[in-house]
Amino acid sequence: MPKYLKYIYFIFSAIASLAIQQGQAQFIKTFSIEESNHNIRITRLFVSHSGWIYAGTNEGLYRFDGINFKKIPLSDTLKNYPVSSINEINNQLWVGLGSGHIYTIENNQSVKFNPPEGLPKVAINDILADKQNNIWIATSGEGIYCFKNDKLYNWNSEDDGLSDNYVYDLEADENGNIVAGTDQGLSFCQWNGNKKQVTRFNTTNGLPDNIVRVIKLYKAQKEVPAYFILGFQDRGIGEFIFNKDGSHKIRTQPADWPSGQINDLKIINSRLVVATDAGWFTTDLTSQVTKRQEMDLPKLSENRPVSMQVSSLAIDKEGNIWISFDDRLALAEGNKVINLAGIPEADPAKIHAMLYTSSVDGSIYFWTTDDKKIVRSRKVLNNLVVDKVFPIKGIDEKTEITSLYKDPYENIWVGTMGKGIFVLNPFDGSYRNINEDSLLYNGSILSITGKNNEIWISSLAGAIKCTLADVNTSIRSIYHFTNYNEVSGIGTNYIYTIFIDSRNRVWFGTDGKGLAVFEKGIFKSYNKKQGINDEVIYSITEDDKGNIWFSTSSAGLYKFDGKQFVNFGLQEGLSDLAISSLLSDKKGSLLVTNKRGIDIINTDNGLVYYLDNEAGVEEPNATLNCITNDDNGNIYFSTAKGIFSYNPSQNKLYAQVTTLLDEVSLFLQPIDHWKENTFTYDQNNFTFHFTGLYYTNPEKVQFQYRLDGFNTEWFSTKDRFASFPKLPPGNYTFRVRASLNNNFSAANEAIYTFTISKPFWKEWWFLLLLVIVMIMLFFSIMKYRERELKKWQQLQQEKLQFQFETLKNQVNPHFLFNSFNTLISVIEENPQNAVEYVEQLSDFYRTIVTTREKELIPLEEELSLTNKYFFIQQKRFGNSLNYRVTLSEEDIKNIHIPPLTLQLLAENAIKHNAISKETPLTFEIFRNNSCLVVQNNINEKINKEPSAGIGLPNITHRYRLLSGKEVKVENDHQTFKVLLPVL
Amino acid sequence: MAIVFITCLLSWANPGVYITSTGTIDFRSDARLELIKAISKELKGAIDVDKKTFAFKVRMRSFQGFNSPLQREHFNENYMESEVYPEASFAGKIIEDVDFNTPGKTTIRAKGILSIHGIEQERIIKSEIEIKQGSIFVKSNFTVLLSDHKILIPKVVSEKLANEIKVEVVAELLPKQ
Repeated sequence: MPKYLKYIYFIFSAIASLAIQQGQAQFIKTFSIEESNHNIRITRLFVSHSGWIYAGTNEGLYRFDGINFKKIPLSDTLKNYPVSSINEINNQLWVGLGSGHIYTIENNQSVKFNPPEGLPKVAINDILADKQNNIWIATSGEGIYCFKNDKLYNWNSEDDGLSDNYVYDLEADENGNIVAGTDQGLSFCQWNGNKKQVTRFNTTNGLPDNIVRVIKLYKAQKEVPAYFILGFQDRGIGEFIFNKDGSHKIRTQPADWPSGQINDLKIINSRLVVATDAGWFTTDLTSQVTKRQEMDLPKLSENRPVSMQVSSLAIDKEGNIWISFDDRLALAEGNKVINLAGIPEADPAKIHAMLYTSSVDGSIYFWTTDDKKIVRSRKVLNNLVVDKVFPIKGIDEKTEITSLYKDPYENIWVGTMGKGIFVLNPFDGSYRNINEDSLLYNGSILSITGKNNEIWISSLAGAIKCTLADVNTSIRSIYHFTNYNEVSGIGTNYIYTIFIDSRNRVWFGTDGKGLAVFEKGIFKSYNKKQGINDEVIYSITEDDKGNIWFSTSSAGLYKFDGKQFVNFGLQEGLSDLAISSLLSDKKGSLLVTNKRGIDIINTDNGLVYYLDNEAGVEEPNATLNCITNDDNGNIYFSTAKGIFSYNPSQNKLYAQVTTLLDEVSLFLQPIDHWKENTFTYDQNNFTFHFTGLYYTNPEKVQFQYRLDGFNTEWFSTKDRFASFPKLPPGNYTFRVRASLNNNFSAANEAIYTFTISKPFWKEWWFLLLLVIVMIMLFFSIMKYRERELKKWQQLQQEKLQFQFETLKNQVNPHFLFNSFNTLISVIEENPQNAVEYVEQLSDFYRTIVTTREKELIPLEEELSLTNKYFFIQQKRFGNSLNYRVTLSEEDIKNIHIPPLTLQLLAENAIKHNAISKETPLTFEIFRNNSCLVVQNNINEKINKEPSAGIGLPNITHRYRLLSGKEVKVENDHQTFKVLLPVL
Repeated sequence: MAIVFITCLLSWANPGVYITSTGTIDFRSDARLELIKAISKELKGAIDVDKKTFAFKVRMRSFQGFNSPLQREHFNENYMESEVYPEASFAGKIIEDVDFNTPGKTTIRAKGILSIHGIEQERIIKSEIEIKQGSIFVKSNFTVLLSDHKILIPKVVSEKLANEIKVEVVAELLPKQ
């Protein structure tokens, strides 16, 4: 151990010896998470890359927007779960739980981390990714897990030589090695191929405390190697530095650390913020002075004192420090502006002028005014310590000191109302009233400024220039003055302020005559003619780009770029038009004080942000131009609460509101808008939820949004959502931007582009298809009609032909001849029968004539015709012709048949067969299933009668046309059978 | 889990193990209206100097003292629920590197699980140990918050019972035979 002793430096000795400086009221705001009548204890804070503050609690994860906490559900089943770590890897939030579970959250979707090897059973304390994207997981009792190439590896003390299995914190060094803080010291873990390699450090080789609870890598500057800042359980803060030769040195602090275990460390602008069990601290890492922050908070209840335990810290994108303690989340003051504690002898209300001076010899002083005297203070870090008081006789309580100026010979020029100027020699405290210039004698001085050997004084009697001697002379010697009054070209004797710019032009702010400039011996005036609407000018300054800015009595600011004057007023973001002072920080910002606070204008983009009550700045000094700056651009101003310093480098980014599109809802149901952006025509009801993160002053955030493709105007709102019901199909881009004022010119936008498709029946391809189908349908209808027409014509033709055939048959001379022969014989035999015969014959003809026009007739009618026919024929053939109808009454009534079908078949049977006693003919009609069967036996005539061969095909054809059914003809040379489909 | 661990440590024969079964543990509740004190001389404990682990336990019913027998009954029945949770225990590991072979006094931190009233709390407790020839002397003062262990104080006695209980442990551990 002794060999390491030489490396131990007690650099934090400031804590023990110099005393911890007491802070002022350190919290601007506090917040708590209330759930069902109790406040939830916040244990972990985290700021994500997009700017959200996340709070891990004993009862779940919450997201904080500066006003409200929103609970983030990790899964449907997990309601109240203790969060033990929050980290971010590749824009994915990794949340470790006390139960050992791990969830990742991306785009508001949470997914359980579920490696096949399983998860730890103990609390997850930290998760981080190394340069190879291996994920390292610290546990309270199971060592470290490393998720590498989709496999989970355990590093523990038994097998791998890890210091201890209880791991508090992980940090990656500059080379990508992982450093673990454990109960038994530090372990540097490194993959050597697939081999684990652990290097350990504990109290036996220099660590002051085995329990390392927090590790932070800190790199002060690019060229300086980074080192670790360690937070111990019992020994406060230490540093672990690797030397170039591979050795290391450890810096610690004295043994009796008074403030309990270190719970968190954060670094901002070389300030280390320390959370402990007994409060919180800030340490300047360059000067190593720790400042104890006081927690001035009311007790929660009589029985429950506020715990001083600060569990976690967060620093948001605006540089605010957030502290979780007890069940509160608090916004700490002290980063944007620092209250320079001190000057108890000086009453802030009596300060009418301030001056910061740094002399050639390096001494830095801060000068303020008071009744009858000038107070000089030294600035020690962030405190002002009164150094010397210079009482000045001749200045009484009623004499207001308006200005202070240091000339190149270190003499302080003090301007008064009504008593002219006093010059003070700070080395011996001697002073004198200047009386050699008529204008200065008992004059009213409004401002004193100067450059090199020239001093410019503005008064109510005009401007006065003093040219100092080239060598330092006593303040008793005579000064040389040149007077410029209204006749000189300034236009008025009332001059509020004089400003010498970087190009040595001298600018005059006048009362009622606008702005005048003195360049190369010539005066030039700018007023209403050039667009300056208010010609009462109080303050003038120059930004880092050489633009001249000046404030007016009631029209806000003007910027002059050498060509034109541009007004900067309420519309552009000023909080008030009654401006008392204006000063450039020479780093791109202007400070404007008014009764509401300080407006800080970014001259690059015109963004304005505010230091007001919310930032601990209440009612700045209303005296004109009571403001000063130092060589580094720090600006000092005063309020009733004291003197504040503003550091430009820490404030550059604060004006930016982070605009985030948080959620897109379709019919009020959230969708994954990072992935979905095409919708159907009826998915047309959209709601956009957006946020403007500005934790310093969330109430001030306002929005403008527009939906490109729907409208072209920006719509202003303070609401955090916008709804668009019933959007027509089209391409849209939703754009939203946030600002702290009406000036949105430099606000960043959040954008979501999406498409609502047309309904398919409005698509061109569908319309084309529709036209084609219509045309095809039209043609097919035409074709069908044509076919039907043809068919009908054919049927007509067939019918005509059939009728013709039938008639032809009936007027067939044979039929008539035979009928008449029969008639003759009947007349002879039985005149009575003859009458009947003739009746039947005429009836037969009549029936043919009446039925032939019809398409279908009932079977009954057809049968009566056939009956008549057979009556006639039987008279001729007698018993040789048999006619038999075997049909039910129903069939006879219901079945329909094309007219003359049976008649024709009967005729054919008689025509083609020899009918005699030896060869009788039997003609039968009966029903067989769905057929009407007409059959006769065959007895073919030797001499065949000539036949047109039309009858049967005609029947077949007619059936086909009428019903589509086929007529079957069966001929087995015994019987001739025709099967007619039943219609 | 802690109980199993303790039992193992107490029963295993191991040359590096020091044990006691007659350690004393006392507590005091210094409330506005009443001071309550009790002591038990039946603290069982073991330290494994090789593994740098330890375990202590005490039977709740072994506490004597109190201001009245009724108070003792309330202690066991109402607050500690000694039927359900008969023992309190503290077991874990020693953070500091202690050379148990060299006699002398040192302050160590004992980190482990403190189980009282069935509620386990992870605690780091500072203890003074004195290594003597053939024994280890342990002395420790710490506080227990009743609220941490879900020991409910009825409103009527909140003036008589402090939330913060001060505990002192004194024990001399001898090598296990």
